[in-house]
Amino acid sequence: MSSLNRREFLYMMSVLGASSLFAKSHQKLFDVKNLNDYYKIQNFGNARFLHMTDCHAQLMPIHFREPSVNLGFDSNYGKPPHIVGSHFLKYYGISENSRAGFAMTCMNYVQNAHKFHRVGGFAHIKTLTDHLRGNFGKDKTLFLDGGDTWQGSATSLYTRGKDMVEAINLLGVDVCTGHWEFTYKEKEILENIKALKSDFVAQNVFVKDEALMNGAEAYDEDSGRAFKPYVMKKMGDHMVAVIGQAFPYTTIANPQRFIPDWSFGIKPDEMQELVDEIRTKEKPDAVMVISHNGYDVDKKMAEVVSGIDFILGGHTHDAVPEAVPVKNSKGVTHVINSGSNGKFIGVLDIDIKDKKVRDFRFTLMPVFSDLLPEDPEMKKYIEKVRAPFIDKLTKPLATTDNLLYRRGNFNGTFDQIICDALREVKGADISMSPGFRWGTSVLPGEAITFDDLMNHTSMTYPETYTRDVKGADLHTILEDVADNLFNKDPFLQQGGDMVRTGGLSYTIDPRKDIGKRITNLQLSSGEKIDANRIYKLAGWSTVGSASKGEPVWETVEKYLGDHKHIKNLKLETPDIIGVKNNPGIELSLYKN
Amino acid sequence: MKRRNFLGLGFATMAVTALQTVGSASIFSQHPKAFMATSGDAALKDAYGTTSVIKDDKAKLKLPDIAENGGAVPVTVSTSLDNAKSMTLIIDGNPHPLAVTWELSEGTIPKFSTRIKMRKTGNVRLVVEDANGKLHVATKQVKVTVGGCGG
Repeated sequence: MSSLNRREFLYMMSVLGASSLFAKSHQKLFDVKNLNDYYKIQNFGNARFLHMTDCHAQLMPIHFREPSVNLGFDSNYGKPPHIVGSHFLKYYGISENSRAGFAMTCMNYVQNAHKFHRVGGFAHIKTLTDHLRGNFGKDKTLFLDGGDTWQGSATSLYTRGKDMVEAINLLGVDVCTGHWEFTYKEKEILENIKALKSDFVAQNVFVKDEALMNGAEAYDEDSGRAFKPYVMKKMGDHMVAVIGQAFPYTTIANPQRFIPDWSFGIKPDEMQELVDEIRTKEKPDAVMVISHNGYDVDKKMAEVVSGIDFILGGHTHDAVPEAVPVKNSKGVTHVINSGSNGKFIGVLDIDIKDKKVRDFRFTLMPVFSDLLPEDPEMKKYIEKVRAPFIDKLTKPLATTDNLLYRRGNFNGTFDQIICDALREVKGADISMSPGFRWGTSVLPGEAITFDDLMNHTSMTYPETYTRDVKGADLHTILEDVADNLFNKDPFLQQGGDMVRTGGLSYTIDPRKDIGKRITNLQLSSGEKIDANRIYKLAGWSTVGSASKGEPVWETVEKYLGDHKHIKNLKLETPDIIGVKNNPGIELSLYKN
Repeated sequence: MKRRNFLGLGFATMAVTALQTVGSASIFSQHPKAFMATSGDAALKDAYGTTSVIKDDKAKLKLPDIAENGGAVPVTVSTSLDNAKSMTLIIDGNPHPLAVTWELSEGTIPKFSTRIKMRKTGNVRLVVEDANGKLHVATKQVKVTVGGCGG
């Protein structure tokens, strides 16, 4: 705090509502006369990166409640992003009812949401990013998009991602990579990439040998890489390399059937070779990676690969307000994650001198739709995209007394509605819904619109199923998903949350090994699950082959129509062992 | 779920995907039991007469952390040892763990890529027999998942 003068301090008190100062964040400018000045920051260095990630096709401003549970263990215990709620406020010195507290935590969420309104929205984002680019110098600024851009809304599905391709073209994105982009068909993906004005980069996607032999296209037949692995960009007088890292577990966590020719992985050895090659051949002033690994995977990659200056990451939807340094064999790599749903723009200014990054400033900037005027061109474009579907999208399906959200390691309230709907409509004992991290929030008293429902279900494999499953297999499924979330090795974490269950409760000890975490499986009646008995399970979103049932939004729409009003929602959360003092859970909000 | 059931039904009972024998006195012809052994160490013992191995970086094994498809896991094996005599791949979680033996004749570049079937999560071991008959090993765990919910 000592480096701030009194006016800056007062500014931060009045606007951020707290004395927060994140390590290496920008200084705010003087002479703040109105709220628009919230976005005036002191420029730093000679190259600026704007980072957006995981917007999940949210063209309109949204509510997005940050998690009340995001557990970390061992070396990640109590480290960002595994600090939530009041622990986060305390760690960073932010007050609960400030704009920063609202943007970055789940605390006092409903009251703050009424006070500070919706966040994100592409028309607001464009105003902000145009300002940040113009203010620093267009020729010295690069706009990076970390992917999960073409999926997550009704219109993105209806247009097969094309509405978002055009939206990020308008926004002025320069370089991007992908994850849910790969849930469209191979041909559609390649067409969309062609329509992008930005470079689509991915060092870790390869065309399978068999496919190559059958004549499949590759960016580089020698390496087998399906896409351009990196791009060199001129920023002022400097040259910067931007390497792409797509979501490494796309073909495991999402269907392979849409992209049969491509193989993914973390590929740290290939990354190291590429960094070394770029450093030798291109002699860049800085090496940046735009990554969809997820936060903990990025941290491990920063440890095992050397020569990267910054990893601008996404996937795990973590709003981390600082760039975290990670040591490796040749120096330090800083890891960044810029949240999700268009809620934040990460602003990274670097100072390059003598072919090296000397210093930097990073600020995770919340996009407040009440502070930022809409960009007229983007506003018009969004209206045009939504116009053909607007009656359907804005149709209220039911009202709610409960705050509805998804994000968190275990069941969210919107998942609970999906699980309840699957059980009721399909007459199942138990239901399951995937632990996605996308899905926006609905405030109590608001109508749940078809738009809201699609924000939780819109995807290319939404088909529902019912099947008979043995008790023992239920256990296997829960164990398998829990291991994807809580495996001690970050390279084995896939970045989704725990599968949501309806009518099924259990106890979980996240620190145990696979096969030993889940115990005490019970039906909602309290009856113990019998390993040899058959239960009727309803679910959706099958990764293997397409299921036969209707898309899940039809199931939930019917349920909401039947109930008309959601109240006293009973959140089915597991009993979690050993987290009493863990800063990755806000226990005051986690009682039921 | 499906994948594990599929593999569990016995499609992975024989995990052999390639067998390269060069020369007249092959391990396979001399030690046919090795390929039918039901534990990795028993296979090693039968093939090489010992389970004593040196853990160093001479044997190189490249595998994914998580298999995209347990039915066809890409693997690349190599060694930096000159005049290595043979290389053997053992998949400890399979019913018959010995998957492949490459017998190397003089001048062979000791680097091969193939696909292996893996029944479940477990270790894969590459054992390289050097010119003096000593065994060098590299081990890597590969996870075979029933299907994730990443997102």
